[in-house]
Amino acid sequence: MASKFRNANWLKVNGFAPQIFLFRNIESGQVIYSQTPHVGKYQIKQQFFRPNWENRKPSKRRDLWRPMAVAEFENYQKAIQAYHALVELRYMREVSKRKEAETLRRRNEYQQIWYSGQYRPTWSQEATSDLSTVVDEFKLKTKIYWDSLWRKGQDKCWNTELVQHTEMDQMSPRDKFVVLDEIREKALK
Amino acid sequence: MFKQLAKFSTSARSLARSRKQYRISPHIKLRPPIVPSIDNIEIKEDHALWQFFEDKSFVRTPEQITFTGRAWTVQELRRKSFEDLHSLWYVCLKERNKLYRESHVYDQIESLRSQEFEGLSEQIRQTMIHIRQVITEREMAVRNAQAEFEVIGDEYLDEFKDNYLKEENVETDEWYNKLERLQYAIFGIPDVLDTSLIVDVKFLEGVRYIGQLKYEKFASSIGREDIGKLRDIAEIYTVFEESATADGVKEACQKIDEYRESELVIPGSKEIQVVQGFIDDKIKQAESDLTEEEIKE
Amino acid sequence: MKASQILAFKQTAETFLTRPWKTYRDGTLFYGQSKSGNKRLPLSTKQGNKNFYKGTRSSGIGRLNKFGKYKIDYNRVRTFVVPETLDECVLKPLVSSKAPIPKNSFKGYDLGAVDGRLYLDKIKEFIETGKTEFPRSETYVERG
Repeated sequence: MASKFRNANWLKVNGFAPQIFLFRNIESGQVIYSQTPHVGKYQIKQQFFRPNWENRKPSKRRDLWRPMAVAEFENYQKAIQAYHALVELRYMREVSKRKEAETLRRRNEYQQIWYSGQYRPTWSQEATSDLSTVVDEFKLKTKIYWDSLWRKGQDKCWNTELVQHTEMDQMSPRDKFVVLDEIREKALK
Repeated sequence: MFKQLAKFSTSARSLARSRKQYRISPHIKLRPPIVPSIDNIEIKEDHALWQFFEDKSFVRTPEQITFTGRAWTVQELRRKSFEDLHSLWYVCLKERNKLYRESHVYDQIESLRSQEFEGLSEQIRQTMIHIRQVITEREMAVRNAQAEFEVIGDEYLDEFKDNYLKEENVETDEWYNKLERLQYAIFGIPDVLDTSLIVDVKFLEGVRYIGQLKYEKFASSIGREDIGKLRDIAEIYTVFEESATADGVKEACQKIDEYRESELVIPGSKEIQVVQGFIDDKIKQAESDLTEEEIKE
Repeated sequence: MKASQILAFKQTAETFLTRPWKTYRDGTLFYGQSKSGNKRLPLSTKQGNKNFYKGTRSSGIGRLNKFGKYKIDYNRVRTFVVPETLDECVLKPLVSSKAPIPKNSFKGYDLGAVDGRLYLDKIKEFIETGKTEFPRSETYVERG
């Protein structure tokens, strides 16, 4: 499913909705973008550049990846456009505009990225901010299902005309994929 | 397939280059990370965890909890019913939960004031200890009373029987209530039977005692001494079931006549089953009557 | 197997105290790690030899079935029964220090509050008179 890039036709034929799934790693806080509700080797290879001790290449253990948000777009073209843009922005943050991105990250007293244990909240916060950038840049009409509305941050960060925020049904982590499937079915109707 | 994977996984840059129409401007300004905001979370008014807070405040100050009271004493608690003791236990438990949480907050900032919360909690613990003592006392008293009843119980029941038989007019509310209380207190037979009732040896004893009592009282006055000794549990239960009046016993006697025509005698080993069956039938009958009434309405 | 190990428990108090010196056949101590120090403290989970399993009092609520799946027996699961009328309860965890403490007397009943005859007398009274409220005052001495 998630083993390679999927084009619009494939998504349509295989019954996927024009959505992008954001999964967060509960151990490190890193985020993976996916076209289908799965996390695989492909996404890790594609979305993590220049790993270091602060931003390791994550494992693909299924228990570590929890759905963080589902962004729903008007059609498959726009979903793919947003997906590419998100990956591109990740590349900018890690490679081409790394210096700029580093200045935005919160630091601890030793000038390291702020962390507690293995967890660095900045990764998921950056993903949220990238999502808002993409929505504004391409003027995409979006509906975002958040795992918890807490993550969406302050309202001023979002273009209220374009974006509609809702919360996913609260379920145990084991049943979260059922919730994702329900969101998919609702989008296809 | 291998080739394809390599193509798409080299970097997002090459990927983007191949699909120009999708490409995001390289001069776009990166936005600062969006920090999650607590304003987005709505907390329910009746959230279960509010039970750990007093008036929804984070912590009380030690001044707010200074209280010059004392724990409940055993003597006071002996007057309380089981329901009251049960509720009081949970009230104490909840209060201690609150205090423990608050003392932990003070502990975190290494304030010695947490001890005041612990002190109060300790006082409440005394109440809980006393509740346990009272319950244990009652448990022991019941056990001792049961042992005592083995010795002097028959004497008391005979005495009650004598009083009942001697009394001229027992068709009064006072005696009905007395009989009801006796069957409840000594044999555990509740006033109103329901589905949760399980017939046991004690129950049968009660049925036998009360049935026999009523029969002996009224047999001569209604002129039905011809029945003689009640033969088995079914006959006794028929008398037990009817009200403690001459008319009630008369009706029961007629039923016994009908029953004797069939010449069945219930053996001792089947008694519990039979009585349970009677009770279940009666409850079913009552339920069907109720539903019929509802339909009529 | 001989019941000697079980019988050893029945010996005198003196030998009971010397149990740390007893060993299994393979030479390991009956309990404890050494023969010195205080022998009379409860063992922790980390102490004892291979035959000592203390547990956490948290298990044993079910059984493995033949497929190796753990089936919980809900009769053995700890439950907390909250009174239905808890919201209506007006009692507070503590009482005012000014409240008089009632006095109880158990004259004529040897065992005091747990006396069986006292309980029977109460039952007899209940049968005779039904539920009655006893008066309350500072000097009133309750029968208990």
